[in-house]
Amino acid sequence: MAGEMTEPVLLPYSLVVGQREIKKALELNFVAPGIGGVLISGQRGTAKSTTVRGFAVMMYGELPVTLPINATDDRVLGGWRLDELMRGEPHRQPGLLEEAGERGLLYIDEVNLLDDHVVNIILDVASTGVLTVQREGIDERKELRFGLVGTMNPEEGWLRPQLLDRFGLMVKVRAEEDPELRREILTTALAMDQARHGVDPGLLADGRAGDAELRAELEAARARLYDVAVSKDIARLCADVAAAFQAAGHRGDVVLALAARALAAREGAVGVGPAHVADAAPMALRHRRGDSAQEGGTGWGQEEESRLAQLVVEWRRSL
Amino acid sequence: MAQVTVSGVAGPGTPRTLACAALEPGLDGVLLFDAAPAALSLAAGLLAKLMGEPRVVTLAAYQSEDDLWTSLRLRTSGFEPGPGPLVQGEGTAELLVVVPDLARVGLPGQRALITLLDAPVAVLERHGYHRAWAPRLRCLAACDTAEVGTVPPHLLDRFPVRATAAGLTGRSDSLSRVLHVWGTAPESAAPSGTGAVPQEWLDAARRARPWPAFGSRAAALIVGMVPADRPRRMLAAARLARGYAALDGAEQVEERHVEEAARLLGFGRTGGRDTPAPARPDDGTASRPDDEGAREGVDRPPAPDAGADAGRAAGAAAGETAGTAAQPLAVQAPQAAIAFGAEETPLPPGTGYPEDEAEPLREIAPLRAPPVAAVGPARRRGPPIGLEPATDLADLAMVATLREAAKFQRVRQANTGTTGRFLINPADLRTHRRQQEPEHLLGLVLDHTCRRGWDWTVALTSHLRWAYVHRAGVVVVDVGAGDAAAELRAERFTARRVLDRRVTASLSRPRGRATPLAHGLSLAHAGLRHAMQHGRAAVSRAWLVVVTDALGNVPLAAGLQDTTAGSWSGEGVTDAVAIARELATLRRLRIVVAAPPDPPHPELVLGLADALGAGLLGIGGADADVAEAGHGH
Repeated sequence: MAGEMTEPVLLPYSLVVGQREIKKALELNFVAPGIGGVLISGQRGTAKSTTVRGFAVMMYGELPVTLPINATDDRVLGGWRLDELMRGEPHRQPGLLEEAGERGLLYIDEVNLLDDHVVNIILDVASTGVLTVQREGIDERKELRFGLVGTMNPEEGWLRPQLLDRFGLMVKVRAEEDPELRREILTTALAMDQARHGVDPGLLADGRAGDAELRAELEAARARLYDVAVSKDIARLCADVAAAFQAAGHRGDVVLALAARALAAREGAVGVGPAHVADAAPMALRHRRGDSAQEGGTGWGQEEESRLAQLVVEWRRSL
Repeated sequence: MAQVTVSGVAGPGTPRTLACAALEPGLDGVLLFDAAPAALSLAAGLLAKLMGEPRVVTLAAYQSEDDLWTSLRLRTSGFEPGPGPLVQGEGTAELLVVVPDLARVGLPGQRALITLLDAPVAVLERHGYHRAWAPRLRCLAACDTAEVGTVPPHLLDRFPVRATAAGLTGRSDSLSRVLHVWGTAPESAAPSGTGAVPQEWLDAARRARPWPAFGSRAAALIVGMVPADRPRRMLAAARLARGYAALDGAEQVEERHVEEAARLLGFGRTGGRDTPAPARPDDGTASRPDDEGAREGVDRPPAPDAGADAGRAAGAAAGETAGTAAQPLAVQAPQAAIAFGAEETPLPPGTGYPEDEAEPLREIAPLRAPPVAAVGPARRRGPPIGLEPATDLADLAMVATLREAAKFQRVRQANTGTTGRFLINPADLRTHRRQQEPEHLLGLVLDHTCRRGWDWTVALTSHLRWAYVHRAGVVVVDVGAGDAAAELRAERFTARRVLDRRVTASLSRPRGRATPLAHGLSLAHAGLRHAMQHGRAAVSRAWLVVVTDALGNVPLAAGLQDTTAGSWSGEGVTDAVAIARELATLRRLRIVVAAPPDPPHPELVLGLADALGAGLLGIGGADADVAEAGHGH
């Protein structure tokens, strides 16, 4: 049953102040959809959801397919249109997973608060690429592909390793500390309050213009993704880095290579360089390391950066 | 009309804060500390008046997600599904969500608040519904300061605006309520004069004036006074300052508005408690505390329980507190008991966000729906917190089952050629998902007179961990506490779980002079028997840990009667041993005695343990028991 809509007024993506890591991950995931999604974990009030929604509106012109924590399994898997069914007219209603399959993205706000059985459903579909529904008189099987974008506050619990692995990239977000950025965040948020109530001296228009410009850049980067060369040596570097950080499974090196390639495409480079790999490595690997099942296990600090730099140096010597 | 009185810590400050919440769209979560039900009711009434005519929804402990997000009405034509009370559509009224006790609101309510507050978009996907909307609501929640540690920090962060409503009630309030119930004399109880909501507040709330400009100076002040890792607090302070400017009719946010916001939120450039109260909010002459005091205010740890004490006092005066209010709250017209424009008193500096210092007394991941862990009788005994498909016919949720079946009635009847019969298939059956009742129990008898510098928490760790892992209920008996109400008597309380601040407090009570061990054991016996055998008790396994040196020096009779009459000579010990033998007869109860190192009379400890049939901690011989407890036996 389609509901009424009280139109939300969202902060345009190009007006989101700071949060470079979130933006980078979302943009790379758009340029290279094979990355498979982004998990954004961070402190409260750091504009995680705002940035994701703003990005979706910028790129797709509408809110992302959103799985809220209050979702029931009939809406996740698909069922019947309730009002019509009550009248004796059974009409199928696609579930959120099907919608995500059509639009390529499923956004889960507060992903760590999802009920376990919903997580199981998502894992089944995301890992097999097949949605099988046999319930309420429905017997269907569909092939689906979609990327997962999730936001969460780690204070309220962590994710299972299986679910963590379904996110191509992961970023850890902290509140901006630079006073100038914080002032800008403050004034932007207050201006948005007014814009939502019709007092807008051009903020939204400016934001939409900025969004259009950025969208064009990202679409161009996406179009040239496969024109960006990935040499065998770079592929070896990706594999070496993933192995050195003991990334579980085989998705780590593949995602790392894809993300590095997307970075190069985003920058307009002709080929992937070691700097692209080093830049993408924390996002691609931090949640695939051996201790990532624990909340504190996804840190990426000075030690990891030094190790990464050392790996690049060794790689250069080996050429 | 009776004298209008507003007393307490921040009565008049709270109305002004609420007015800001009404006019600033980003201030959608307001937390009132230590608000008695009457005060919360008045505050809600004021907020409702300022918001216009909102739809009021009360969140309580018992509501399920279906109660909040969907509805199902029975019409003559059949069931009619619809949106629930928290869902808003095009053109519907603003919502005022009132939470009488944030520490006790049910998990579905907590998750709903996470979904709705400070969210530009809310999405509902339940039972065939898809709805996405921009929430237009204010949430007014009450919470006891001492209970803040039990509330998830993620949820508290959704309430960046803090105030205390202690004392926001008066005799006139009670009078008008009684008169209202009688349906008489509304004239005599009607508000007048100073009681009316100021017109300029109403104008501001209805956006009859332009938004005050927020300049770079104000932004710099806010940024300078709020820690960087608290972005929502920064925005709340800025919005509050802009709200104050709007109430004052100012064209731009000035330094005094920022200071007022900081002061009323309990942080920022204000001085300590002795800071002179600013002038009336509408005269634009708020005082300016010095910067030195401001830094002091930011850095100072919260004054322990300052607000809580005031709140408890107010609650006691009102006969109950928000913490015990389970009924939906009446939203009262505010005029009777609020004096607008009187002197303000802010939150004491550093007390606006007590969760920063409070001991966390909550589950890990408290906002996640708990797994169905219980397999025994407890599974069917807790209060319902949701629904799930049934796998057997026990504990069916009839309405949910009928609703599920109703969806398919027309189709089924058409397919089977039946009319007039309601057809239910096994797949329709729904059962309650219930909050887990404790299947395990930990009894603690804590003899405070034996401690003498001994850190007994080390000895207790295994059993406390066992209690946490198994979500055990806890019966605590304090023996010989120096702050006991009657020193010849032991004291007992029952906690739902080990993460209860009373349990923590008991572990560090001071030593007293008398040791009413026999009375303590008798209280433990009665408490455990009640918990394990009474009514629909679901406890299947229990531990009792008796921490003592067995030097009971108060006979049972003296403890029961709280009298020192007569002469005593060892009766305290013999009575304790006698009751210990009764305790030993309780089935499914395992007992262990923890004695301090080198007790004065080890033979008494051994004798008591023998009577209890208990193992010993500290004198050897009970390692296996500890290991068993520690490994989640």
